[in-house]
Amino acid sequence: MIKLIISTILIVLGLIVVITAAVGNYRFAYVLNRMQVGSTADTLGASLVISGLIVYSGFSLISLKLVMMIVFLWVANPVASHFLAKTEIIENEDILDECEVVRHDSI
Amino acid sequence: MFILLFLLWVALNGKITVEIIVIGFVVTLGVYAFAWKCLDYSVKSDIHFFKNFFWIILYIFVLIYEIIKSSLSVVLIAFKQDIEIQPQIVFFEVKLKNKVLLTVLANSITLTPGTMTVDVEENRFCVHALDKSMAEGIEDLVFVKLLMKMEENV
Repeated sequence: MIKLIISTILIVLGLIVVITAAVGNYRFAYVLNRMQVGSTADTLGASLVISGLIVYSGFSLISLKLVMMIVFLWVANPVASHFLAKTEIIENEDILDECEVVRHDSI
Repeated sequence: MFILLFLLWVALNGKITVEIIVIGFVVTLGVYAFAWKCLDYSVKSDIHFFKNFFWIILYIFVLIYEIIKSSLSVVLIAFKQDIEIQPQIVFFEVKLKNKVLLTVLANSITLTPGTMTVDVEENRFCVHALDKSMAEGIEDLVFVKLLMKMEENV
């Protein structure tokens, strides 16, 4: 019973995060800002839902496979968003209208 | 790493029979040889991994904590009445040299919502941040300190 309650709470929290990402996608205007909000759904939302499922299935092989799913999501997701961001910054000529550039290095 | 791969094979199969063990042994050997030949793998890196085991576990927990913290701030921004944000692109340097650790750092920066790695050249990072407050402490992140300790151990 406690297992069910904990897993329900985790899954509902994850769904709230995913809904937030969907709402945020409409509220922000610029590509990179939208991607930032969208990545919340991928990292926290998906992993909360999956950890809810892990709690529900208990200590078994299924939960081991679910943990592997989280690991794969967390390794694969940054690569994709990094390439999208790089392409956007290279392509967009008016990038300075959208963001302020700050330099902390010694070049 | 050989043992880890073999355990992964057994875990994915879900049961232990003679066939599974024999086939798994052959497949694991093949993957191991591939990693040795093409992915710059050696027994040395295994030893480094176990030396840094404590730091890696600590790093994972810090990463989860940071993700939850910054997700909350992004969620709060998304539900505000009027969105006032100042997106920034920040260039900064870190003192790390190891390429694997640099990749780990870039991935963790992208993984935390609100900041995103745009480009990495040697040890210079170019990071896009959703708001000024997120870009502020980016030079001395917790990740960098932990990774520096890992590099000392190598």
